[in-house]
Amino acid sequence: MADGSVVHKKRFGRHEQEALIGYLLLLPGLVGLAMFVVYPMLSGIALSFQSKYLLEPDKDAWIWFENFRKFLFANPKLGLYVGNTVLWVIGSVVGSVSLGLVLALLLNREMRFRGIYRAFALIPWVMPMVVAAIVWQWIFNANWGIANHVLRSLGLISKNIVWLADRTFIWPAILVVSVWKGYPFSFAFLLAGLQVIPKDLYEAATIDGASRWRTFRHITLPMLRPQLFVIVLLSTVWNANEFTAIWMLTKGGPADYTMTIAPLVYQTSFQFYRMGYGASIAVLLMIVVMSLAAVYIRSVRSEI
Amino acid sequence: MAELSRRRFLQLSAMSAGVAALAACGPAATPAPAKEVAPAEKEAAPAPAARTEIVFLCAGTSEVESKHQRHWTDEFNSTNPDNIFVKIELIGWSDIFTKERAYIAAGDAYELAWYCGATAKEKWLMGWVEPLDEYLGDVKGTFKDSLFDPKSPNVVEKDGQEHWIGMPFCHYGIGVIGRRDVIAEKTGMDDNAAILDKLSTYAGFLEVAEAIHDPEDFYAISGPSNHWPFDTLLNNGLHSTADFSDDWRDAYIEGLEFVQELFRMSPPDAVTWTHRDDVAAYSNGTVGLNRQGTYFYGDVIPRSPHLMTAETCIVLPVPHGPAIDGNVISIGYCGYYMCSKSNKKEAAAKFMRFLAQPDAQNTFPMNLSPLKGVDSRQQVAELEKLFPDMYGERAIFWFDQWNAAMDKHTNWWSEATVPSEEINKIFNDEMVRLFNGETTPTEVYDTIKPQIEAICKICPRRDGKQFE
Repeated sequence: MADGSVVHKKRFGRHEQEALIGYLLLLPGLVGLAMFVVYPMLSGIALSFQSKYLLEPDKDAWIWFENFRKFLFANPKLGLYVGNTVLWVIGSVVGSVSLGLVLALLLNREMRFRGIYRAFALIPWVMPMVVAAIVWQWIFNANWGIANHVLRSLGLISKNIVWLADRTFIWPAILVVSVWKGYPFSFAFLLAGLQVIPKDLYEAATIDGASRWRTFRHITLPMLRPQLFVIVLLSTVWNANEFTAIWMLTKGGPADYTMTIAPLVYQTSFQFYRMGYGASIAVLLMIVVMSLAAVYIRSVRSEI
Repeated sequence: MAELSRRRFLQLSAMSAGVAALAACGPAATPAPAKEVAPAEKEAAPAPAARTEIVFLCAGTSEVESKHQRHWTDEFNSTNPDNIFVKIELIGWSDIFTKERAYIAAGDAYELAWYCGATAKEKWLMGWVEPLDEYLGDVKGTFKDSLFDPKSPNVVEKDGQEHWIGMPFCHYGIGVIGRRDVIAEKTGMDDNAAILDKLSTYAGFLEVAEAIHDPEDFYAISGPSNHWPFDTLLNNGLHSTADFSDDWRDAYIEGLEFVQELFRMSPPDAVTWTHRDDVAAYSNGTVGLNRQGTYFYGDVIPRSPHLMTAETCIVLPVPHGPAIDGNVISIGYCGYYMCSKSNKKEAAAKFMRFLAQPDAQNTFPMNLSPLKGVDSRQQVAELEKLFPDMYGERAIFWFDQWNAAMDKHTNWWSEATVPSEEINKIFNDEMVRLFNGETTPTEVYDTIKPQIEAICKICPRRDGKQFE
């Protein structure tokens, strides 16, 4: 400067440059997230506060919490829907994680054609749920389904079971489909987790005379905690939102016996034309699932 | 190969993105200049109209229906002089509403869509339906008069005026299809008149059903559990499943008691059946009396042609109860409506006019023609052109019997309630409980009455009570 003082230009340093590059590279993803996740979510929340009933287009209005009040306090089937959803989530998660763990343990051993068995184990995962549901509908068909044919051939039943209508069997049947479809995800994750457990831990356990069960309980399970955490969390969220399986298999019937929240949202919005009310049920489901996820993450995080 | 520095990479990425953005925002491509035509040619060949594409949403309810829709769409596309191109989309029945809504929400409405039963009236209430009087008023006279009955699914009333909203492709009746050969074998009745007479009442029907019922090989009554109740109630004097007229309460409950008897003779899994399961069961020869409609011929004939003959099949009305003296055949129309949100209504109207012509109307398989003056032989002969393996002489019995039933018995509108799905859900859930023996007809009535009356928009009732 003219008076002789030195002005230090503020330079855009390397750190700031790298951060800017990072943000720029993130930008397309963020734009997509905003367009396809954030905006629809906010629109759905806004819709939940309105009385949008398509058969009364001139009566659209902001009714704020009335839809929520109606569902939570004036719906005689609330307990049924919530109970069904809890049953579906717990059954699906416990079943698929357990089966995935068993298969991962089995296929982690050295054996011939292990690679082929592992590939076969992933088949349910790659099959679209719509296709899987249709296939299982035929398997469970009361008159021509292979399930009844096999059971009758083995002498285990004398009369065909009406799998997708009989209240004794309908829940086990649809949970079988969910577990069959969901176990490969757990299997793949847990198999990867098993493969990084140090072998010397097992050798040390063997030397100390630990039984297989104690080895599993005190070495394998604790070492799989990070994977189990992720699997349980994701499976819970996915199953809470599951629509296709239930809709294809039973449409929530008979008489809402298998109706969970996600298909209820669809039915309310697209079959009954009550868009605002349906949106409020969806928002409630979102709040519950997010809260459960937050509680779970908080309680388990410190142990991982 | 030279390495690409980070700066260079970012520069190239930014330039590419900029170029792409400019290209997307640029003006539409300039159309190629019209070819110069000699003066003589100009007079003889007028310039072709600009191509207009219209969207035609069809519910793929069956293979034969889809074939009919594709055939006439292709015919129109190849012969219409106005350069209109119809883009047909086949969508599952249960998903067509979602598709319609998506088109409208996207601001690019379709032109024509399929409807059946009360769904056109529902779309009218949503503000999606364009009245056809102005576009097709001159062809009204070719259709059966019942199409324009104020209670029909094709007519709505607004500000004291009636509007025609749906152009049909079929006219269907609902009754019972019976295994004539099994009835003859088990009851000794081999004469159609005797069978029709015996099965015309609740009591006679149950007697024959008991005679042919032979579980688990053969069930007297087919499902699904929601098919029988609608028409049973109509056949005991009610005007719809939402008819809770005080003076007809006993008739309603009486109808449900009859339905309960029918459930007893249905396959145990029929409680969850849909139409296709019903069709499959009849085609497999495991049920004897199936509540069905005029469309059923096309459902069964591809799989089990031996069950669709005059010897093995008889068309019956749904039996009537003690509250009325004669049988009721419920009738309905399926058709196409014009979307009021479309901006190509003129083009859509031209296509609809094409579909209204006798060639198209009379070759819709499975159902009766909605046109006046078309008898069985004429319809069968025309159907044979498009479906030579299915129709012809062999099908005449079917159309003869249906036409006779509809001429002889009272006709009433089926599926006339709005909102149809929600009312059906309330009603059918109780039918499931009735099927499972968890409730009684009286409890069903008392349970559904307040629920249905609370949501009624259009609910035909004996007492004429109207809903908002």
